[in-house]
Amino acid sequence: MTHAAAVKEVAVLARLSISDEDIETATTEFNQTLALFDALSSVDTTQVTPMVNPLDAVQRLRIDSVETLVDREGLMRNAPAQDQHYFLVPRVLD
Amino acid sequence: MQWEKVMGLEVHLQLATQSKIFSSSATTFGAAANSQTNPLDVALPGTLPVLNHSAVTQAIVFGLGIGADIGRVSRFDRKNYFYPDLPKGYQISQFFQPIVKEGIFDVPMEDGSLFPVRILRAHLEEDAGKSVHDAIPGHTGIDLNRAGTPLLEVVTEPDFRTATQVVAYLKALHALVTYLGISDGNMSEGSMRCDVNLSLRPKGESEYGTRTELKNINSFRFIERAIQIEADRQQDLLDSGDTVTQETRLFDPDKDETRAMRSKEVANDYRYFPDPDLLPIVIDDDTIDQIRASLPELPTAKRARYISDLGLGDYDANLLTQDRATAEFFEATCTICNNPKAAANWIVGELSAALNRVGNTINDCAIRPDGLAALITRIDDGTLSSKMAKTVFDALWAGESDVDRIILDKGLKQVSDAGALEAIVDELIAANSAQVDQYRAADASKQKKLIGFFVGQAMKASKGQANPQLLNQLLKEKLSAS
Amino acid sequence: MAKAVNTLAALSQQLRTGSVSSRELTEDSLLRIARLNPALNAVITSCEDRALAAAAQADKALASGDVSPLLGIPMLHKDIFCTRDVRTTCASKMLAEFIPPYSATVVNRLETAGMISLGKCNMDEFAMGSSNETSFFGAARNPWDTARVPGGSSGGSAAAVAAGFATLATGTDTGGSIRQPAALCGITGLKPSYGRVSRYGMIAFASSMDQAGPMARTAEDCALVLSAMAGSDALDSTCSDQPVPNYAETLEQSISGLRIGVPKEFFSHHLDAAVADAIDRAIKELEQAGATIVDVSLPSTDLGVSTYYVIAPAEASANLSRYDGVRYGYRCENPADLEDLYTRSRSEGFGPEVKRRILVGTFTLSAASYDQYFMKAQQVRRVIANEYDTVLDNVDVIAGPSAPNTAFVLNDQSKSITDMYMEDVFTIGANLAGLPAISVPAGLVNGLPVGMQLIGRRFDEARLLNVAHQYQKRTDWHTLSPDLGGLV
Repeated sequence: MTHAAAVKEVAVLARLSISDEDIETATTEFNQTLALFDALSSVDTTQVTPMVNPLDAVQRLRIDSVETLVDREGLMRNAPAQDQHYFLVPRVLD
Repeated sequence: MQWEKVMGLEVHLQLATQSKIFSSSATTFGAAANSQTNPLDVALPGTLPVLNHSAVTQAIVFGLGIGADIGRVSRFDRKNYFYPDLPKGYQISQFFQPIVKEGIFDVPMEDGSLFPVRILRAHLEEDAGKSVHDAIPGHTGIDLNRAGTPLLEVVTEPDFRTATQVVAYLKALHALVTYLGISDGNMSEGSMRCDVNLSLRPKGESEYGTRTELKNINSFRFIERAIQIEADRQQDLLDSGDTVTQETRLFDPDKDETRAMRSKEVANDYRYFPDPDLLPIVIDDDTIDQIRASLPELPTAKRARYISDLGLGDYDANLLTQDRATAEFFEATCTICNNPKAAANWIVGELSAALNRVGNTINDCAIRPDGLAALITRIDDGTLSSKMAKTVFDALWAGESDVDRIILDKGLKQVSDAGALEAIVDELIAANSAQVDQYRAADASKQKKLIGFFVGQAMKASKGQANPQLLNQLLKEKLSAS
Repeated sequence: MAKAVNTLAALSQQLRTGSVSSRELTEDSLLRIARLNPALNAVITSCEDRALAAAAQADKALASGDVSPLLGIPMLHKDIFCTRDVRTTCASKMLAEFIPPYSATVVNRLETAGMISLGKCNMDEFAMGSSNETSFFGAARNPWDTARVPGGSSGGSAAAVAAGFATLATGTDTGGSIRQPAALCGITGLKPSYGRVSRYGMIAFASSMDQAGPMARTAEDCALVLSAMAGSDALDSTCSDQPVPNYAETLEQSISGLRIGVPKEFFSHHLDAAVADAIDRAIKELEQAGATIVDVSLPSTDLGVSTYYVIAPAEASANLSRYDGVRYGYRCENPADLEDLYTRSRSEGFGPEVKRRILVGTFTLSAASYDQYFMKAQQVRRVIANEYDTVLDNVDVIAGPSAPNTAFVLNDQSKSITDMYMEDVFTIGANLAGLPAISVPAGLVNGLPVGMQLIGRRFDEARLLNVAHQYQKRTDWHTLSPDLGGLV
């Protein structure tokens, strides 16, 4: 059973906000979903290698050469805020 | 209380690839904002990483260079955190299975001893972009040119006890990677960045204290200072009964202090997990053998060879092997003049001093190995005295290239013709009978002083070109004969 | 109910004989979309001008004797595929204004093959859903009954094909998102093996399971399109370089003697009895075609749901971190600072189901629960994949239902979140194991379509399409169309 405070902490990690009105429902739903996972513990997985990807192949390597697929204007045209070819965010310190 | 520093290092090396680790964007330093970006670097939806072959090869080269185990199967993982210069909201790194595993790196110390540093691992990862705080008022600008640049993060065990060891390690690491050609090691451009994990413990204690991480120290100059400042800060805390907080701190060379980083204040849970967009990197024996065969002679081997085969001292051997360009300069010079000791003396002495004065590296030096070798040859064959040699060196430094031409133009040829010198000496003896008598009356120890007068006069008469050994010999003979 | 007018293969013939032009087909399709979409909401964005321009080009090529099979045929893309200069929303407020500067490999390949893109289909937001109800642009409707869902997440694509907007729409399938809506809308939908089709430019949900595939009337049409879609891609490391066969060539092979496995776990309490009867009859049909029916067991079938709902949200939680309001996508008004920018942009830009899954995924990956949930699920995933492989060592194809029920009504309050997750119970296995699977129309229950699912060996799409085609030669469920007269 995960408590509302813990759900809120997870939300902070995910950069999502849950209002005080919504937190109860969110917590209930969260716990419903986690309950669905309980069945996993019944499986004996000793010696079983986790499966990351079903494709049984090794990483293909790209030749080290430079290529521009899309120009800067194209890459930045959806930016909510930009100036002098920088993406803008509120000022950050450090 | 006597405190002992315990330090471990994490060094990020920017690999010398043309393109980024997962995209085909260029990695050139200093380009216009966001001009070296592709859809992947901006993390546009639907883009996928494809691994750069050179990045993998260079990581293996490094692993073999420090004699470490190569991870035959390695993987990439996602490290999740939000920051505006991290476009995907996760960094692709190697957490669970790095490409380079344990190894021991022998670091030459000034006294000629070797300090073995245990390398824990080295892994491939992508660099973040850059946040620019001063370009646009009230905003932080994000430039993603650097995002995705391949990095090799080299992590040591906490083996360092002094700042001197740390600096020696970094210099040796710098030498190694430049030798291997896998990084330009340029600290000011961020190609080599160092994080120091530092804690104190009472001397004799075996448990570690709480550590802080000093981030991104970007010059050799600052490292010793940063370590000292942080160690002092921790010691003050501990001496007054306080505790050290585990945190990331930044060294500010202007204020000469370390301070906690704001962005790292919130304890993060990075939620590492294997990146499903990338498959395992499998490295077989053939690949390793091929790469091993292509490795250049490494600094440690070179250094040993300079000492045993070329008869150099530890000091010169250390300095000459510190970077590949210097060693190559030295070896090229030796090949032509066949006098390693003289070549070493000139490079470690005059040449280094001159380079230091103008702040250049040996790569940007007007003097080339053939020029220096010609100079040494002319000293060895008696054409130049050491004093004249300095004049020739200055001319080479100024951009001239033909040593014999310089000698001719400046009239620097040393007079080694016994007949010509004999005439000068005879004339001197005839003209200075009082001094000759004084010399002849003096005992051996006084004679040594008195002969200086005749040497000076003879040099003057020869316009400085008399071969000093020959002149001395002639004077002794003539003055002794009565 | 009416007989379907056309298949892609038939249109291809007509184009090449000159009995119809690409322009005429394109205009017909656009007209049909304009007429019916208000009632069905299957298309989010249509691009008339571009489509007509492309059709004119195709007609020129046809006139000059180009006989490429897909040339000049109108189609639709699920709005999860990036289309250069055409808005790509993923049915999210987050990307409601997003105009990609590049196209997905799938889009490029079908365009190169001469297909005419009419627009972009509705879907569940970020492909998270089984009913199309999570779309920011409103739910798409099932053409068989507009009070019902078309299934999801590729619900708009399924509804569009069923309603005759086009003979083909692309879809993507992470846990059943092609097969379940294909079943609920009475069309044929193929999820290829993981790695068969490039994922480049396809907006990621769960990277280790997402696959793109064709949704069409017939297996033959799917075969024609898959041949053009599939194959290695330098821009996707997880796209296999196994050669791509011409899938149309093996369609006519006899299935006599083929071994077809029927897992008993697919006929569990989750399955609606009438649907079960329809599937039984479909399997009998395969037996009559000469196949040998074998009882098999996939004991971890139900566990697949738990496994999937750990892994998919975990991968998604990271995949969706890039939507931070910085470089593109929704940004909140007047952010006070960076954290406010992140948190409000994401909280306002994502819908409830997406946020639920991000939360769960963030949780299962966190240091304290990684071993218990995420790693455990990855281990169970291998157990499940091994079960499938063992069964497929013994049989050529697995057959069963695509979905536990027919289309359900919109806004069904009786369905809890986890009930909804059970919609995927029969389809998830193929995603976890990376196997190809197809859903073919196999009957009607109370006037609503039922889909039979066939699952094959890895990279053996040819066999699946062969079996599906042979089934369709013996049945006419795939030729049925909903009566849309009342919608206009």
